[in-house]
Amino acid sequence: MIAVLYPVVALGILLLQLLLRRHRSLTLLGVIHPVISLIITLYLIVSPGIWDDSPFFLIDHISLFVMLITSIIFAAAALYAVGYIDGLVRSGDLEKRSLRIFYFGFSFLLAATTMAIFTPNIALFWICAELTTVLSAVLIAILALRATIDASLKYIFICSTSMLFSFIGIIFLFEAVRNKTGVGSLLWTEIVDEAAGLDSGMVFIAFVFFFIGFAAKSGIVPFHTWLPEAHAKAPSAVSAVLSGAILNIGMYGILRMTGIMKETGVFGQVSVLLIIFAMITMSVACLSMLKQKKLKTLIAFSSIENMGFIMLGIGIGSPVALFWALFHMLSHSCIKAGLFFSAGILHRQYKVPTRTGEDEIGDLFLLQPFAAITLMAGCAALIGMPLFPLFLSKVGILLAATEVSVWIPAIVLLLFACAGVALIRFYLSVMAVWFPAGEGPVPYKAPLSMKFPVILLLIISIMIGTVMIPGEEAFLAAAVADLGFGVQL
Amino acid sequence: MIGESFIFAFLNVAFVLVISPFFMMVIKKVKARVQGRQGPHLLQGYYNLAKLFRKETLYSEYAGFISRIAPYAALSILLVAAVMVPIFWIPEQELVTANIIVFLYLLVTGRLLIALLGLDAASTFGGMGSSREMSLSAIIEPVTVVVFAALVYVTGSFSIHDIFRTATTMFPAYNPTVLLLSVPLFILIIVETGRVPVDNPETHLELTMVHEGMLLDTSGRNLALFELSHAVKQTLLMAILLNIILPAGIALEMSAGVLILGGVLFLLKGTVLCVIIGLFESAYAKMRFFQIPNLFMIAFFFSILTIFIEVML
Amino acid sequence: MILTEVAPVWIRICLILVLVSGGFLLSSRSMSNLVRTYQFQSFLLVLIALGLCILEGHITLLLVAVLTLVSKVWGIPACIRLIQERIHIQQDLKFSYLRPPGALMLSILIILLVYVCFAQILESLYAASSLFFLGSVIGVSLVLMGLLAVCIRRMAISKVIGYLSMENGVLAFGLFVTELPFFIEFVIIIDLIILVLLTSIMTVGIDSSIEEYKTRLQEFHLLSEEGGIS
Repeated sequence: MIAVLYPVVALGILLLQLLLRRHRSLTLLGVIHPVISLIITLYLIVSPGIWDDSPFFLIDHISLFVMLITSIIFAAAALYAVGYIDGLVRSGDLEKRSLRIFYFGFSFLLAATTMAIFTPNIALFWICAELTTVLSAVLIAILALRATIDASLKYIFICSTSMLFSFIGIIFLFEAVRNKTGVGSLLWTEIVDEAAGLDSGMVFIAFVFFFIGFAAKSGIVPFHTWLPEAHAKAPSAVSAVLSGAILNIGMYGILRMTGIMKETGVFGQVSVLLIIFAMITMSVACLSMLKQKKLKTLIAFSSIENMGFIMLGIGIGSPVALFWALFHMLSHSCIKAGLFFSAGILHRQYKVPTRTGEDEIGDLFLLQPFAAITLMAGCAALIGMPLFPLFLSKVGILLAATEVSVWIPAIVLLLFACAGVALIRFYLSVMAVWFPAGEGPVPYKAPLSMKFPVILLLIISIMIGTVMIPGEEAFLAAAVADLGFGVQL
Repeated sequence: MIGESFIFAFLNVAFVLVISPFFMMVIKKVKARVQGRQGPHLLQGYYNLAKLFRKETLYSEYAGFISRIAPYAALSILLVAAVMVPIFWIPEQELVTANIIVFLYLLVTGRLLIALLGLDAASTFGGMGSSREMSLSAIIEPVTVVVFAALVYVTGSFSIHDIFRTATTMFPAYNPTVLLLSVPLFILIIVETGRVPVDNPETHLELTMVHEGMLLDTSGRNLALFELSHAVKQTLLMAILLNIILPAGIALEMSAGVLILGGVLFLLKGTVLCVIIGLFESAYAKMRFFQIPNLFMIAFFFSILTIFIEVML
Repeated sequence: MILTEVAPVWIRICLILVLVSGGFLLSSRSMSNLVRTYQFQSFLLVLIALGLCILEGHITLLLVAVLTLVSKVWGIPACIRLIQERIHIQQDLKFSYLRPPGALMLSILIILLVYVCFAQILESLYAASSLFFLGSVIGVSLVLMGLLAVCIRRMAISKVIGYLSMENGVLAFGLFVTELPFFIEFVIIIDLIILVLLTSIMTVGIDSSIEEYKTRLQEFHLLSEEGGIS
């Protein structure tokens, strides 16, 4: 019954946030919530015996894994927000009365994400995913500028309309199960059990419709058009949460659904569908990265590319590929969040309104040495440098891909090269800008609360990238097995 | 049998000729009343026709043979069409082939003649009216064909006589397709007879004329014949709508009492439909010419949907 | 019972009218007509639910009908009217990518496509002449037509109404294809409420933007470039 603590704590924190007034107390609550979630998650991970005690929660390896990623990112973002939001309020970008909305939305978003991950019922999963869309849209639009409201509305429309298709897919799945057993079921576990004899036409349509919605949520091409704008216009803390936690919800849905499809006869077609979309996504994302001039948009496209890569791993379908896909989820979230935090520090520094409307970054190492170094580390991590974990997962998935076709790793490597070039080119271009003496902006002292999460995430990434934590391999392998992809490594 | 068909043809045509002006006046009266006026006397249509027949026929100096032939030709074509559409009595054997597609294209031929007439007088307004009329006709044609196709599909025969006969057996257990088809058929009536919102039949502003523009240069007997053919076309289309939706009272055998009852009932039904048309006209303003394809598109959409449902079932 | 014979006919008529209202949503130019069309569509769904309830006898369908009546025929249009009063914009004349006649043509093609796909894939389960097959085709077609409306309309409120009609399509689909547990309906309603509330708050900021009026006034030389009324 430990899992009941999740909603109880969430409810308590939300109530307190409605009642309390002072900024400090709101921020404190905002940090406490994800930290408590993280503690509960870690406790559940190390005590597998009590998983079956909670009837309303689907606790197995995969959901705990995704929850772990989510709570780490949310905790880091909440810590970062302490300094970032403070800065926004001080510079007048954010109004005081929006503060409560921000923190309330933030905690509610964490609660909704938790519910989405742990609910055993597909329909509740769907509604929680919709809730996360709505809440993150509120957070994106918190600055109440015309551009942010536009980006936020675009996000809501694209994701919500695609989720409706997902709902149709759920209804198809329900009907397919009902045709087989006489009583339909909406529970993940029951559907997996019944999946073997389902009518293949109907179940394939169900998958296609379901895929549309959650692909939109994860930023798969052609449903990705909301992503660059939303990430670029939102405050950095929110962008980090979006990239690091909310995109994973889409992948989680696709993962579970693929697990169901594995039992039916159409897994081959499903696999082909996933791989095709993954390749298209990565191509579009990497090629778009080449012409981006703004930092956050660049990072956003990199998110799309990584999500495509995770889907490639899922599509390949072998246990190895899935293992590394899950690993990639974790590492990508940590690194991306770190990158967004650094970008946020840079934004606070350089956000003098300019002619072009974008931040002109210059005198980088002079003004913000910390952010400059972390940005460099983050870019190196994204490209796939060996110390960082993305290297491992990329190698793993590409090796697994050779079993499907040797062209896939070839093209993907080329695309990764494009992405790498784009990142390096951007970095070099901003490194080399010097303001004439006296014209540069005033140096911005980033508070410790903004620097600490970046360092923390970098340390976690390096740790994951170099050392296999004891039990991690077994845990991930068990997660893969939970999804139904069985064979141990 | 043949004798019966001849009697049917004669009665049908005579009935149509007699009641058409009456129906036109009913519509005008309803519109006038809605506008707060008294409106013309219900028999005014006959007085108008009588007056026009007595007047002199003038031709423009550029007018050719079309201006002389077209009025008679148009009315004759419509009278042939009138033989195809049973108004209150369905005989056992058709005198002429009552194929619904032939009916449609007879109407189109009549329209073609009027359009040529509009051009023939070499006046700009005539030309403008003709071009507008033909473009509207081209756009409404798919709707008409689809509506008629749906009717044919439901009842299983191309002959109007058979369609009406099947309709009498279906009443009152309605086929939903037939009910839904009443809407595009109604829009068809509005369009073919040039009523608001497609075209204003009472306008005297040349720039807003479509149908009236083509008739600007006709006078006397020719004008009377055109007015009559317009009214006949309206009655025939109304008859198609009424006899499919409300076939109650159509005579199926040749006996005097049943025939008279059929005629009276049709008169009543027609009057009610004319009132509805009048109210519909009063409720809307004339649409801008380039918005009219939108209206047709909705009608087309509607009729395609009814065919889909019929086929999909 | 006479009702059980009339029910399939009235359901079929309502289904066609639902699609026609979807067509109106694509082409209507006046804001109040748009809201009224949406109300009409929801009302048709209530009638369909009632008809299905009579045909099959599940009480949940009755509850669904009542819930739809309260929320979609009365509640949501009331919300949207409140927003409209604040926005003061009566017409939505601009369309992007496709004008109404083209959009209606595209919807006809969509309906055909959905029918063909479903006929091929679902033939083992449903006889093609079944009422349920028809309902599922129409449900998915309505969803796609709503998507088209979201794409081609410019104003955010019209996009919201397009989204609402998509949700109507999902509801129609759900009514026909299976007997869903009742709380699904509830779930959809919650989703709708949240979405409408949120977008309404945001669209008041967008649609009533003064910038459009400024450019219009400038065009007619009523507003000088610096912003004072000339």
